[in-house]
Amino acid sequence: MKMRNDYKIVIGLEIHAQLLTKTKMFCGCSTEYSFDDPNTNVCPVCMGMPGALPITNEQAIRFGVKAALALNCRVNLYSRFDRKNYFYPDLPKGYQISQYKYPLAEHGYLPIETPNGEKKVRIRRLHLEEDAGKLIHQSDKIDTAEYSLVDLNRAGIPLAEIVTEPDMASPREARIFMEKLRNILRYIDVCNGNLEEGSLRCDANISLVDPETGRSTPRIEVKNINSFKFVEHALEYEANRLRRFFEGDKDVVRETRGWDSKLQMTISQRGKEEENDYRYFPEPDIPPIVLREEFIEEIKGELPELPDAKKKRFMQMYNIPEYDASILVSSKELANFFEECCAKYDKPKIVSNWIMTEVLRELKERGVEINETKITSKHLVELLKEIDKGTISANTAKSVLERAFETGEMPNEIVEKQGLKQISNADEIRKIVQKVVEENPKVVAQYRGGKTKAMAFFIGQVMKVTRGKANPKMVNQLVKEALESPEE
Amino acid sequence: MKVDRELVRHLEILARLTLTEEEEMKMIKDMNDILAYVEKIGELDLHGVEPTYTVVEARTVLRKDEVRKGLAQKMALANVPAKKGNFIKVSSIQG
Repeated sequence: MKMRNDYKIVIGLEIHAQLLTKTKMFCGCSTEYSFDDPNTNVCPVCMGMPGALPITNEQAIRFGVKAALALNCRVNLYSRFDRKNYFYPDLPKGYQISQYKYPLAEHGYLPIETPNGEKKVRIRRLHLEEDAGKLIHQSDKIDTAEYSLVDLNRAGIPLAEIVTEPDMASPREARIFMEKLRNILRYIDVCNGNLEEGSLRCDANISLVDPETGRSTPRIEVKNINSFKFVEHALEYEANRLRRFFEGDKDVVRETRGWDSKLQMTISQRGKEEENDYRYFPEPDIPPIVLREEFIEEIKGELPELPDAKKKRFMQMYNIPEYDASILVSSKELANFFEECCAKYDKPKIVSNWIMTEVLRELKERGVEINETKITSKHLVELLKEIDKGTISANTAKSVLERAFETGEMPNEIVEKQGLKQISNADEIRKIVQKVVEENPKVVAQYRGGKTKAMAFFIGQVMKVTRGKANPKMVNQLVKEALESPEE
Repeated sequence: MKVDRELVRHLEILARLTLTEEEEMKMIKDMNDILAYVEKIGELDLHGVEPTYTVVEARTVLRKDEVRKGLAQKMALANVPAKKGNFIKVSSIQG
């Protein structure tokens, strides 16, 4: 039977974002932790000792409200915590304090740019909860007994859980949504958005619908997606697997599956289904969270310019194309860098070109944000000015920038030290051209015989001799002159 | 609500416990007794009465985001049944 390709894909996401508070959700323990020193930031509250009482972190509420507003949610003036009961060694109390019936915020949306135009992904709710501890599975080779190690430093770190409606129609859209969400959370400084390190986590629900019959596959929850690439890969894999349901594959059942990035496939986590009985009830130790309108207004006033607004402003203010603007605002740091450069150098499109190519390539290779490098706007601006002055060619400038990324030296220093100054002295270049022409009579003959492409050979030779430092425009002109001058 | 064997078995799974048949029988009896006791409250006419979620005064209590020293690592791990290094060691969870 032929596989059909017209099934509708339905994806909803559940995102957990660690909030950048100094202390945990319900106790004063520091949220800083390193894996080398476990169980150092713990107290009776986050260790679940009897009698310990949780007190809600005000900053976590602020960050939650801030995120909710940035995602166009309605913030509830009354919200409350509930206990979500399950047993797992990383959960010392035997329950997680979460918000179930009365979440902090609801009914938001986030517009995303898809290949088919803009669309709104609705946000069902945003609520606050506490993180679990870190569990490391080990197996002892000597007696093959398996055991796990628990570090409770992460237990109690504030999380915002963001649940979308099933509004994404492709794995690509899910990825675009995640990237945009991450960007916004970073813009408003509530989460550092690191999927690899787990400060931002994504679970996805996916099912397929046959548009002819309206029949739907069972819904699959995919967990363990720890990079943006994997959001797409895991869901593509799962969509393909789900198609088999319509061909009668009995293995496709409602379940939770984990993405295995090594095997590049999802793997059933059977046995977890029965656990989905959390017996929620109101947390009796924490009074309801009652917010005042003024409090919410105050936070609204603190919201910075968000990526979409910034993009529009960049297009208008700097007269750059939409494509450029959307890349520049894809990171707050990059957008700031662009504006700093433009403040000192008034050709925004040139700044943008350099950022989108050379700068972004360097950042990608290093896997860092611009503010984590040795480069500042001063570097790029100085470099661009030197190109304008003709001190260096654009090509040389690229290697100068590369060097600056490595050492943090200013472009002028690098040019000076490495003798990269462009040769713009016509006599000097003419001499080299003459020499190259004299040494290659055969190619000269070819050129004069009509093979004009041979000119590139001479330009290349001159550049080789000058190690790329000769002013390309002048080389071009002088080579042409030399080749076309009447034979002696 | 009636507690029966099926429910107790379900709770065993949720609580990751395995009870003997004898313990299960005792659990069924105890839990039914507890429920019967609490159900007495059902005799009251509570129409129009808001549920009480908290006995604490309905006032939002928040804490400033300031670090407070918790337990020293040694103290924190003092009553842990099993350790490995400074980790808490637990038997592996299957499934």
